[in-house]
Amino acid sequence: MVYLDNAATTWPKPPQVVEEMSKFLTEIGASPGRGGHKKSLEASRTIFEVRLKLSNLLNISDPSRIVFTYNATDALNLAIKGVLSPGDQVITSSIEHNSVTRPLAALGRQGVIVKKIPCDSQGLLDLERLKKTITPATRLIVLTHASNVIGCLTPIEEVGKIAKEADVIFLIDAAQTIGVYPLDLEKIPADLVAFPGHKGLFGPQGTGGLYIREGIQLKTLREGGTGSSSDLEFQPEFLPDKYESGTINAVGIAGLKAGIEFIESQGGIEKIREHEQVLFTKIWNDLKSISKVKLYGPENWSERIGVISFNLGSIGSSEVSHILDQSFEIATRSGLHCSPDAHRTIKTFEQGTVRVSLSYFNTEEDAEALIGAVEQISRTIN
Amino acid sequence: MEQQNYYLYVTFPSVHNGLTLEARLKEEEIPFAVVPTPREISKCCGISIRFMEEWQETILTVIKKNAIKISGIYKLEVNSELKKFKFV
Repeated sequence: MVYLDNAATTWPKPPQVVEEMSKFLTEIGASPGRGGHKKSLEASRTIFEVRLKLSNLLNISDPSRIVFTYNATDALNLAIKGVLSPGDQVITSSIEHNSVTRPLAALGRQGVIVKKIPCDSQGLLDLERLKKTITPATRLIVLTHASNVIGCLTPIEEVGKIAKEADVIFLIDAAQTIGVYPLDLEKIPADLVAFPGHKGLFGPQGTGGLYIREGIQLKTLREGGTGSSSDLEFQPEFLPDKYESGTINAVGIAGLKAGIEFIESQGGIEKIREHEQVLFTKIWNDLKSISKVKLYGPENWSERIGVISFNLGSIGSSEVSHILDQSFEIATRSGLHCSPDAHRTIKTFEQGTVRVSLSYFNTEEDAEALIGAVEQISRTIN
Repeated sequence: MEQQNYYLYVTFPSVHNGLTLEARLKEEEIPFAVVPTPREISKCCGISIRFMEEWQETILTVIKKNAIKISGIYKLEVNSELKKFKFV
């Protein structure tokens, strides 16, 4: 099976991830942050280490500002609902995933004013329009770092500066970029960054996190046991405990540790990006040469990540994806990719697109298999 | 160790803070133990760092230098079977 659905979750995982999780369950297994016995301490140290690794990855100085969540959606919900109250204005774009669009729509019903800045057909954000949309009521700007449909990058550094100048909180959805595109928070003035553990960081599903800049106060979405301040009825105010109620996914986070170590062992994010560039260039150029193929988003690698959307003539994207799966053993994703706004933006709301998304584990043979298959399918249509 | 008259305990808001100090103390080869926080002072997280009095100044310097968040430092007096905790 050629797996090209890495934007949904990366597969395969490095073998070390499985080993680390197995080791955690068989040798440690205890609940982190609960009790002072050896096993609990070992579990706590595992979590502590992963926070350190993540803070190195994001270039932040205080690892306690990273809280673990179950996925990026969970982190986005905490960030969005933790910041916004009725009467606040929030600015977002027209290429967001439902993980942003839906929490905002829910808050819209409760009196939050949601403004969507349209992006052009390449997914590019109009920064001037963004600036002009900011009012004294604007409390939050939330944008994806890269579209999960088009693959285009958002100019987050510029947006961060605009947000900072206007004293507006800036939240980045790094679902598609963490682990595959550098995100240096010393350079980018973002206040909140939501990320998954199971995509570019090669951790297992059920892992994710939210970075919260010092000084940003979020309302909690859930309260409960934290293993700290147990005598008090109210939730502690310090991080990471404030946002980590209940037993966290320690075995998953142990796996995430091995995922991040794998990236480090391969030479870091730059190396991963170089590998994906080679595959992207081959796939993009070869697909482009097939007459019935339509590709979406920017062609230039510096403006994008390894997520490629295409269509074949007017055939439904699901049909193409199904043929790729059934006849060629190639896993892609079709339809709307939980991002209807992005499809409206590139005018594929009806047809959807076939999405090919890369990982470090994909090979040139995978790229050739895909190109050969699309060529064959294209010959069968008029 | 048990012959000592005094132990000092550093308590922390979060286990994360405790493990931050643990990592620094290991680096600096300062003797300490990570222990469950005694109930008498357990308004904080479940673990404390226990050390002998002679290390107090050194450990305070490490805490300050690394800006580690702590809840307090307590002194345990082991005196004629009476345990007494004092906030230092």
